[in-house]
Amino acid sequence: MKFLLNILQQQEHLFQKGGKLEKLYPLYEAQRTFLFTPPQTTVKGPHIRDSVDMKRVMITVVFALLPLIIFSFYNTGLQTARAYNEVQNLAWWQLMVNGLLIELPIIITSYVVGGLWETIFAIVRKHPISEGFLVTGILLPLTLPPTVPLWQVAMGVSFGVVIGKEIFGGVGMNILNPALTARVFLFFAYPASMSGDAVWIKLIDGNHWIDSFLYHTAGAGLVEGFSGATALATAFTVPANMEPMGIMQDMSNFNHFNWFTLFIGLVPGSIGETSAMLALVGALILIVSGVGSWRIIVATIAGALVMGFGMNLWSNGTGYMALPPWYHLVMGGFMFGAVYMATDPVSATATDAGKWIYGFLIGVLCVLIRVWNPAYPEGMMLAILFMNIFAPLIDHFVVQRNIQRRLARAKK
Amino acid sequence: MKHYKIKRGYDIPLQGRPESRMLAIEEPSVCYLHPARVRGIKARLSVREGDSVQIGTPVFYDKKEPALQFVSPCAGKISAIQYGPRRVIESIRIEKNGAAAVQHARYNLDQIKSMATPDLVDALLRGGMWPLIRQRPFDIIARPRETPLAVFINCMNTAPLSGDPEFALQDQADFFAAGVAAMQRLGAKNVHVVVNGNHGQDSIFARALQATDGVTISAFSGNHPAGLVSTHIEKLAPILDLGHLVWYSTAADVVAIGQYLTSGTFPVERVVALSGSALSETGYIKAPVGCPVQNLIGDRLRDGENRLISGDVLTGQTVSLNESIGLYHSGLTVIPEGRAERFLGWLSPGFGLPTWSRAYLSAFIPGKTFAQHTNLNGEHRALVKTGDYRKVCSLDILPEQLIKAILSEDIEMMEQLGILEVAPEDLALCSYICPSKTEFTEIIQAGLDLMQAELN
Repeated sequence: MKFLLNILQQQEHLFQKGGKLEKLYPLYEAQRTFLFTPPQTTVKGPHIRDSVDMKRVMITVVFALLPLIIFSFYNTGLQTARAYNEVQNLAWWQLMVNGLLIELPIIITSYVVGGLWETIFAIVRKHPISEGFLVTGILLPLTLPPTVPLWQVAMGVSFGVVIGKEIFGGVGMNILNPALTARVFLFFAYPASMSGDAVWIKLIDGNHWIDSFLYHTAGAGLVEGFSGATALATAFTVPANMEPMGIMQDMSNFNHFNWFTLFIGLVPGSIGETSAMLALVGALILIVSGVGSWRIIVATIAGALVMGFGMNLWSNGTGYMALPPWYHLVMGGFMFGAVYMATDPVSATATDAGKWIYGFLIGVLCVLIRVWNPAYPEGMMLAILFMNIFAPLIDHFVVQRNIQRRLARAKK
Repeated sequence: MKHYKIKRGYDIPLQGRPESRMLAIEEPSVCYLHPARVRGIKARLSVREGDSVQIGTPVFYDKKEPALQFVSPCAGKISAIQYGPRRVIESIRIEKNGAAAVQHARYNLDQIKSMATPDLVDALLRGGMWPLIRQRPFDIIARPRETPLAVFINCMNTAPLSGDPEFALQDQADFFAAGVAAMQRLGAKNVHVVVNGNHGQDSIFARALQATDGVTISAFSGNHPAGLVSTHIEKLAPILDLGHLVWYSTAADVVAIGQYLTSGTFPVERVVALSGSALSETGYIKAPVGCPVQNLIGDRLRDGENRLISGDVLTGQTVSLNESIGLYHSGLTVIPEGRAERFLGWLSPGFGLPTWSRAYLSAFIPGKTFAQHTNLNGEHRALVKTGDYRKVCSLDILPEQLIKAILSEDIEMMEQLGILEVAPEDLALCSYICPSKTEFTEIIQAGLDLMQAELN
């Protein structure tokens, strides 16, 4: 690979001070450090440093997302095929290719548009392009329904990167999770594309050339009794006097909802959120590598379970409140949010004690919003953003406790 | 003897530990002094180029405290004085000639034990030994007219690739006892001697003090920074506000004080540990104070671009071949420079990449050691990862919040978060593990400077 390095080194003078392309230095630097580790040695402080840098931390998060991403290709294709009763006619790899073709444009748009904004800010502010974007760029598509129009993806990622991160000063300075900021913007600005029963399964447009290429029976009709409702939407509509498992069973004729299918995730929903099982695999990777906080993940699950049990006690056996709490863990984006969104170290609390409180309240709020709020079926996104805002306050109290401990020692 | 186990911290698995053997060196014909490197003083010369000096002749002093003198470690002629920016005195080169020494009063052990504090202080100042006594807070040279609440003698060294005082000072027990007796006469209520928990009662220092009373001996064990003086102070005599003054010295410093008081002349030999993967052999050297690094290394340097570090890899200072090691350093570490650019390095599984975290697979190979080089291994970024810094810091402080308070120059918050308890060396491991390459040690030093400026 020396020849690549030689080419890059030859180009360097163009981008340095006084060179023709001086302003584009962040772009050159990002490319060079992407391909080759930087040659800088330590100048002050400790003479040796750990091999882990920001790039490694971010790519570890992407590694933890990979099982989920690959699964999502299969699942998206599967959901579409089921809608036309075509599953028996297609091989598993064909389903994966379908899913890939549906998802890739969304992922590419997210990375390209977001990357463009990152580059503009890096050039204007004269600092390196930050690696945080490697994660934000893939997290946002995973929270979107597969039918989302690409121009909305572009709008969302722009809002998320600019308002959610860059105006605060870039990676490390933001208060809110950038991917969730993008998602919440899309949720409130374009609600028809983000919620309701029509968005979770990509339906075939007979005139579209890709669809004709994919499905040999393009133009075949939708299956009888088709419903694009997710488990969350279904639970949302449980009447107060009806036993919740009854409703879940009713829908299961089409969508096979029971705890296990929800856990594995072969159900409709946002692209990456359906599989709680693979989110847990990702959690394992994040915890073992030391990149994600196990405290936040465990606390979030605990908070949801506690709130769910509390609601069970308060209900009289019927209605949404009576839904067993472990269903909340596998429905909707709960596990995905708990593992990948809540654990974003910049927007979460910094102290260990704070992480327990932060995660617990996210779990509590998520279930609360889901069950009691009549406007939104999904509570995870709002719960995490709400706690993002309170994270500094929680940290403040933990810091005060450290200070009080010090003063108490002084008095002794 | 109370035993303290320090649970937090990290021992970096480095190659190049100093072997337990004495190495020979070529006797140097020059010696060097570096006034600019002594923190907290404004150095002023007492000599000029061309002057003849003896061992113990004052060479420079602190403008703010003229009684604080620094003396020549060898006899001969001042051959060159090098200045740096803003007229700081970077180096004083003395060409050796003979061994004439300034003779001060000598004391035996009983006389030391009954010395009056002002007399002891004057004796140490005259002999140029006072700089070996440092203070906390602020980690600067102690002020002679003050009285500390406690005195600490640190007989441990847990820094990576550092020498073991138990080996280096093994035949200095009598001088150590004399030095401790002197430290007891400084007016403090308590004198604490801290030894390595791996030796405990068998520590040469504990055994040397069997006949001494009035001294509290404690043992500490655990990963680095279990051997740092802040860790000991926090457990034994915590510093809680500006009124809590603690003085400290290392075992080697105390041995030197004992030698001075017993012989009346400046002690010219110190044991230096030679370590690092860029050396073909490692060990300990009985070297003259001010010895050029060139002589210490001899022909043991491996090929390639290397970095010479006076002190340890976490807190040491880069030196060149014709400089001497630092006043408080008892080791020289030599490691390879690392300027290689690896293709897609951050994507590799990393079986050979040293890391405290487990994001590279080297963490899963038990017992692996590394010949770590000086590459920054990343670029400076904003603080992102939280919660890890406490795991490598033995003190009950919140490292990120403390440095953020320093960066925003919030004096009150700094004090509340414990700036008075720390020295830069305590957070060096935080800088080591940080993926954003945050310079904790620099920021802490800036915070300490800010606090001192605020008080004056």
